[in-house]
Amino acid sequence: MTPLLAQFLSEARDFLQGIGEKLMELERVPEDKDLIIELFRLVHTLKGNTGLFDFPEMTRVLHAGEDLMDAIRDGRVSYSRDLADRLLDAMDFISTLCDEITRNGLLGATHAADSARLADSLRQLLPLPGPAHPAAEPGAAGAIPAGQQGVPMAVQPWNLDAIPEPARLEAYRRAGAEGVVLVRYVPGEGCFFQGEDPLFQARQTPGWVWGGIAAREPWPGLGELDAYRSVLDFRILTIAPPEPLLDHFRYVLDQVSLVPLQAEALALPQGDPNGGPVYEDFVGDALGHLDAGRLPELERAVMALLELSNPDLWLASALRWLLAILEKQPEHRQALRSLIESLKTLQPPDWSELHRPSPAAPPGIGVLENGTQVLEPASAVQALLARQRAILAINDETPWQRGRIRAAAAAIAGCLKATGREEHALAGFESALAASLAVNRGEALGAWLDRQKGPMAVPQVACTLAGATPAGPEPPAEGAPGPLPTEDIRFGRRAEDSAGGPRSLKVDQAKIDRLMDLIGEMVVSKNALPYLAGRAETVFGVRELSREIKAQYAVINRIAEEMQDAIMQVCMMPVSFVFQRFPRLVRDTSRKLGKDVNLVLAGEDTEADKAIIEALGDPLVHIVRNSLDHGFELPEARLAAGKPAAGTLTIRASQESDRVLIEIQDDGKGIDPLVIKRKAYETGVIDEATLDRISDQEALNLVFAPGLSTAAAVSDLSGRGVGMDVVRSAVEKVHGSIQLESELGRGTRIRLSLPLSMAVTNVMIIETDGQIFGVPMDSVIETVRVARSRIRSIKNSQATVLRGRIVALKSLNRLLGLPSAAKVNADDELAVLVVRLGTEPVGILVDHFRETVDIILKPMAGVLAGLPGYAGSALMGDGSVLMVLNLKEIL
Amino acid sequence: MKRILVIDDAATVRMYHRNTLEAAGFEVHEAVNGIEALEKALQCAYDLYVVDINMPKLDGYGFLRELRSRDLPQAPAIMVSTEAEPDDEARAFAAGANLYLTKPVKPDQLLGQVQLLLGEVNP
Repeated sequence: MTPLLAQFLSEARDFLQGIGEKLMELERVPEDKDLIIELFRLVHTLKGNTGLFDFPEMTRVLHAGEDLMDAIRDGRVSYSRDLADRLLDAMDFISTLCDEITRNGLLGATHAADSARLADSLRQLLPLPGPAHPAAEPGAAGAIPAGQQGVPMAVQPWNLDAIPEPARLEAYRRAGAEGVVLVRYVPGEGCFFQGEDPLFQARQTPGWVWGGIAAREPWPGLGELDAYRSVLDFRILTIAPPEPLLDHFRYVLDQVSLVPLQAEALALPQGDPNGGPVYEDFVGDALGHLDAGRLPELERAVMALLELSNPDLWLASALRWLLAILEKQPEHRQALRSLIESLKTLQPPDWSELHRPSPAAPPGIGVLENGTQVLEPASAVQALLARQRAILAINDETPWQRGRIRAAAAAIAGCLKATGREEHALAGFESALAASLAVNRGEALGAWLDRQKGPMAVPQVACTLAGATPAGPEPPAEGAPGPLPTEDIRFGRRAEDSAGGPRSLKVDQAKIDRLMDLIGEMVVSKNALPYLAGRAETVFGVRELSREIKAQYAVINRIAEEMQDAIMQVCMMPVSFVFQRFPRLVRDTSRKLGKDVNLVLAGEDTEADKAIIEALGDPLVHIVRNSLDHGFELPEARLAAGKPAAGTLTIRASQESDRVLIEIQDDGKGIDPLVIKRKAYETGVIDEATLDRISDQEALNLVFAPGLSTAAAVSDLSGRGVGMDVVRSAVEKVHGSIQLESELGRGTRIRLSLPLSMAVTNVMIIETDGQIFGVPMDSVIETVRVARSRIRSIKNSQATVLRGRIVALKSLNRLLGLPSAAKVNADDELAVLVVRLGTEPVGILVDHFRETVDIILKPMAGVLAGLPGYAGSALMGDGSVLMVLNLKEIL
Repeated sequence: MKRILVIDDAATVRMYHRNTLEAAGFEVHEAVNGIEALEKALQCAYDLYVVDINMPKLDGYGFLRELRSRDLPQAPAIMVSTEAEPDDEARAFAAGANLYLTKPVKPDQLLGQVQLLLGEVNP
């Protein structure tokens, strides 16, 4: 994968995320104009990015999305939930494609249909172009559907007579002194992959009168048809002179040829010959009128015969042309004569001698032997200079006019240099520029440019650019500022002002992990220094050195701790990372269930270690789904219970010392302890005795028991038997805990408590049989000394009574296969470490308790990873290794 | 070495232009919106600007108007747009662009125009 593609994918994901969020926001405030503009910009930019690559499936959908957003922005379409649904679907599709590109580096061929379907579904929401829209494309309406115009979509030689007569007549009437141009435009076969839109390009041709499309080759069968390969061949009849046409097609000049024609060349009568030429009398009379210059008589004679003739006849067609020429060019005797004489033979007149004389050919147009002029690619320098010439002609007297003139001058200077004319042109150029700047108008420089010859000669191309009204100021609607609009634009030097949002760096997780490991080792190995200082004093007797080592240790210690702190900060993420998926989830799910639920998020800025945040995602999704599925009632039921129809789901994060608390609260129907109890009994989770004994809160906690689902029917959302037990184990995996409170009819609240960071684990060190082990503090309930006399043996196991509860006792030595028995202290008491295992406390017999320490726990690697009894190991300050027990496995 | 400022809110597009222009030996700087671009233009003399239209905070037109309104060295600017709207094109020139290209801009196409505007080739 190239860095550019990787960049694209990474940025695309950010955009998709942003689009999703903005759509959700828009759902709340559908009228927010800024939001709509921002949304349009995101879709637009993303589409632009896809255009750089060969992903037509993406571009197509995004293009439709962009058009839709554009319509919303302009107020042509109003925002609706259905619209948001379709847009979200489309973005999900793009997201899937991104995933596939990430995996395979390319896209499979299977997405074209989905892409077309999604694009269509988006476009369905677009308003049909009203009568006002096609007007913007003069003559385009109905012209391109070549089938209707009698130009079948098949291979066909392109001749003037293939153009329907009405179109030719119209072109003739509208043509200026320069005549008409027949444009042939053959887009490259791969044009669709280059983001070109040949149809659009053709339809936008200036001076359009008529257009037709044909295939360059016979169409293959549908089976072999490659819809992505362009075989199109456009013909366009236009009344625009060649220069604007060159300009219009400037990026595809190699695919375009122009044939400039005198307007009368269009006068090619067509129609039914009706048995052949029989109009000798009329021809004689007409020629007589023409020779005598009696044009009104000629016109009357023509009109009289036309009225008598069937309009489908060749004769009628020729007469119509005669009338048109009489109207437009009555002085053109040669044309009239040729046309009248053609009635003798019913052969169209030969207009070839009328083809435009070549001396007037503007630069960039060559002349072929047969007299027709064909376009040659115009020189890029000339095109660029023509641009600057047009820019210099703009005189809107804005505050930036002077800068614009200077920039155009800079561009011209570049072209001068590029054409190697710098030296001898320089003097004239400088003085022309000075003259222009003196009056703050571009004319002087423009005039100088007009005087240049050779490669610097500017064709009179586009001196009036399409739409560039040279003298008028810009429309105020677009916000053309009179005085400098600097008030609302700040120019701070601080980076924060300029960056689009917070500056961040994307780094591979593995690199961070490595840095974290190294810093961890550093923190531990610095602890060897005090030991070294001790040895310097006691073994080598150098007290001075010992003191210096200690002083240096203090410095290293401080830096190491700051480093540790810094790397922890790097790994901290805001919980918004997981929260951001909920608006969409809650929206989609509640709509699917027919419920109405408002989501309230709070404390999204609360930060925790990335590993914790990531581990939090799935359990939270599960809890939220459960709540939506089982917690909230349908709107009618809610109203009946005297609650608002829309429920409220609150997800709140906060930090409490070194824990992150996440609270998920709903105002749904709550959990009925009786239902849970019955269900638990039915599914065999509890026995009959327990059923009578347990309290309501204990019953509620049964929802965390494996295999308990309270949904009456298994829906596709939750209730597939994986329930809250999975949530609890996921939370406990990251050393978190979960609590549930519920009030019948009022709602349910679930609280998660998680450590801020997993990088540091707090363990208690215990000693047994002369060895030390670590036990994670979050499973430790208490440490007690129990007199040997109070320990009862029941069959093979031992137990004691602690605070009125029976606690099973296990000897750590026996669990680890160590031979010696647990030691007692002077008072004949055993050390019991009471730990939580599931919901039951268990006592572990050890020899001694030691201190608790913060360690960096490393999982066992290699062969040792197969030892389930250990959660991992850690390096202690003195260089020794502490094995940390995995109590769940050994008990 | 000639210095070019590429202004586009899409990092992918910036990288795309950077690849093209750096390969041809230009020094490329980047800005993510008009405001940042203007700040950079105030601090450093560029020989050419490649400007996107649609950007947050300050768009391409706004940037050019601000730039051209100031007493700074006025380097040519190429405006790059996704749309081939005649209106946009006219507006771009009125705002102070010297060339208007439509996305996707092919590397050769951009490079050819850049070299011309900077007087780097003899056609």
